[in-house]
Amino acid sequence: MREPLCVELARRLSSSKRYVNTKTLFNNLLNNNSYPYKRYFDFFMIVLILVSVSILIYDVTSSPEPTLEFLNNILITAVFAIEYLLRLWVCSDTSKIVVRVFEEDKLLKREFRLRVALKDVAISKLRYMRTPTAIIDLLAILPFFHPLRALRLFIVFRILKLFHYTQNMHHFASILATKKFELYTLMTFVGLIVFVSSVIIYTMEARSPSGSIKTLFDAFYWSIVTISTVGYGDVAPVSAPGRVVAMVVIMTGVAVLAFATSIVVSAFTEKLDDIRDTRVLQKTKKLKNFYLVCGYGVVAKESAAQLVLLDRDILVLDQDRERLEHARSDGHMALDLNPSSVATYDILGDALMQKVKSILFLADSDIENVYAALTVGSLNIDIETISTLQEKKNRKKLLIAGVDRVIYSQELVAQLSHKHSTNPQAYKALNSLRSTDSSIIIGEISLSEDFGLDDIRNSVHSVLVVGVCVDEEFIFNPSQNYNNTNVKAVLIAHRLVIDDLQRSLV
Amino acid sequence: MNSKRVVVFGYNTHSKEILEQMSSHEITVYCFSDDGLEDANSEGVDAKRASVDDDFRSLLSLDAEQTMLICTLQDEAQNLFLTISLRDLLPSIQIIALATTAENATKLRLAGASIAVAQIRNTANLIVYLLEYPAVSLFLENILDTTHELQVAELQESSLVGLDACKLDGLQSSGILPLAYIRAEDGKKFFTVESDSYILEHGDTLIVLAKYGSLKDFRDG
Repeated sequence: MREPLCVELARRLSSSKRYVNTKTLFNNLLNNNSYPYKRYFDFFMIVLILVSVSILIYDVTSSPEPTLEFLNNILITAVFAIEYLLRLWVCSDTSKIVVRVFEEDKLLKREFRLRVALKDVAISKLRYMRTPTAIIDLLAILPFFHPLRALRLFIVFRILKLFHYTQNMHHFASILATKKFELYTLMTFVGLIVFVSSVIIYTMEARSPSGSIKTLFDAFYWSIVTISTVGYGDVAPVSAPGRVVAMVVIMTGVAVLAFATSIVVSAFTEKLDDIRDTRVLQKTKKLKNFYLVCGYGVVAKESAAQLVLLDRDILVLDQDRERLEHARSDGHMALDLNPSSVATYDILGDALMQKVKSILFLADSDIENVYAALTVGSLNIDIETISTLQEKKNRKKLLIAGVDRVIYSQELVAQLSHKHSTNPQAYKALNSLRSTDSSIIIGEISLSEDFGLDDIRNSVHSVLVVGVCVDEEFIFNPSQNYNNTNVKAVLIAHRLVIDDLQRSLV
Repeated sequence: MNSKRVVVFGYNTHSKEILEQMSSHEITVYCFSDDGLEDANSEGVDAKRASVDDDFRSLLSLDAEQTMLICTLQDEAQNLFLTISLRDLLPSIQIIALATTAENATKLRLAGASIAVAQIRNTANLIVYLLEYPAVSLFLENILDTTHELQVAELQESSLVGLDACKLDGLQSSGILPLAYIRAEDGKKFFTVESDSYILEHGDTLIVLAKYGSLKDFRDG
């Protein structure tokens, strides 16, 4: 079957790098919250909306100024219109739909049905056009057309456009959406009460000479004002039966208000953690790199505190509510996610996992650490992993699970006790080099071809070169003519001297 | 000081590791529960039953210079009480006490422990050094590893008297790095990199980093 011109065109578009890149760019700008430049676009649009709304508000009581009119009715509206068309463009892939229909027809050996393809394209576009945000966008650009400019109502839609660009409003809408059924039930109930009470109050009050409810609209207005417990008092029943109806409506109003409040509060309570997690994820995406701490046990708490002192970022994963709260109250980014579940790493996403410097399995249980290590191992991620060990017999299990370094604190404590027992003063001195309070510290710097061991030894500063680290091997007190430059040197010197040497290298 | 006799209080995962590390010393273990005593005996450890309320007067016969006490009770309050009791009984003996947190390690020092090892703090330190300072971490691992040649040692040899602690090039060329010195007159410690010059006197201690062989050669020579 020879390909029709439109299919050929669709294929060309799909394979055109420039077309795909342009479409991806606009899609990112309009819809991708993790796209770094989206915030600038959003900010620009928010400014335009506020300018537009300000002009419209000014126009309400003042005579329109031609410059402002031009800015609002032509320029800003044109930008909004272009934005609407772009959203319509990126909401679905027309060329893909055309090619798909063609391929299906080809497979079933029938003529290409252009009409079906166009219908599918129209459906996909209409699906977007029917969404509340798209409707608001469309209504916001209607003042572009002269006859509709008089309708000040459109000012509302310009304000509503702000929904597009504020994350909080999205969250609010998504929270309320979880209680759709409850809200629908409530609104049906309220609608029924308003309708019934409006009709009854109208029949009771309309003929009363001193009454203020003369029309069905008055009755409807009174009903809404009363059931919402606002009660302006400008329209009120005067007859005894009318007042009885009022009493019933007032009582119903209190109940409706309590019900509505409870729905919103429960929706927020249920979704609060999700919102917090989303925020944390967004915050994490902005980081250059970070350590992933799986399980916020006692060692994790201490390690995290020390890493924060070094200005490092960490993300804690834990499903234990108490530990999670501890992590949050300690000021760390923490997610209510299970480190042993593959779904957790799907949520984090590949882009985020690439920023992970090391994964630390620091739960207070070997079972949890082994499980989490195996989960990470199954993902084939090449990231350094470190785990604590609670019971010596489980060391091999952690190593089998793929952990690169296993730390058994009892062994460490025993080593320290042993060393302290033989040379107590010497170990105290060595320990003090790692203290954050000490001015003399032990540090390391990466040597380069331009800055070698000789440069350190011959520097004006007082530095003790302890050794160099080459491929997991430590060479103590390297000789004067040691000239390997791609190594890390371990030094003892004043904190400021080490900082200065590091700066010299940079 | 190279302690020859070690008395370990408590029999648990910590003390088992300590026994393993210090197998070359003469060790006595005091167990504070019947289960612990049974466990120790079944593993061939020379253990005695004790209680934190005991007066431990039998320890008075030990040579304080050649003995070290290690308190490893898992109940931190009991470990504190034991440490303070032992210090009261033996004012000059070396006591090493284990704590979980840095806060409890401070309390143990106040109770009289010569050295208080904070388990969580030290583990966290090790993790952070592994992550942020891998070369330093490797060096410290070598130092802590009992099978490794590299060590940090204290020298009080008379041959050092009169030498400048900050300019010991001869020592350095023979593989001994002078790290710090402790003045005998006031017991204060100074790192060699923070002073320009200090002439070592009798009783001063020079703290050095060296391989076992280099140290042996120096001491023998």
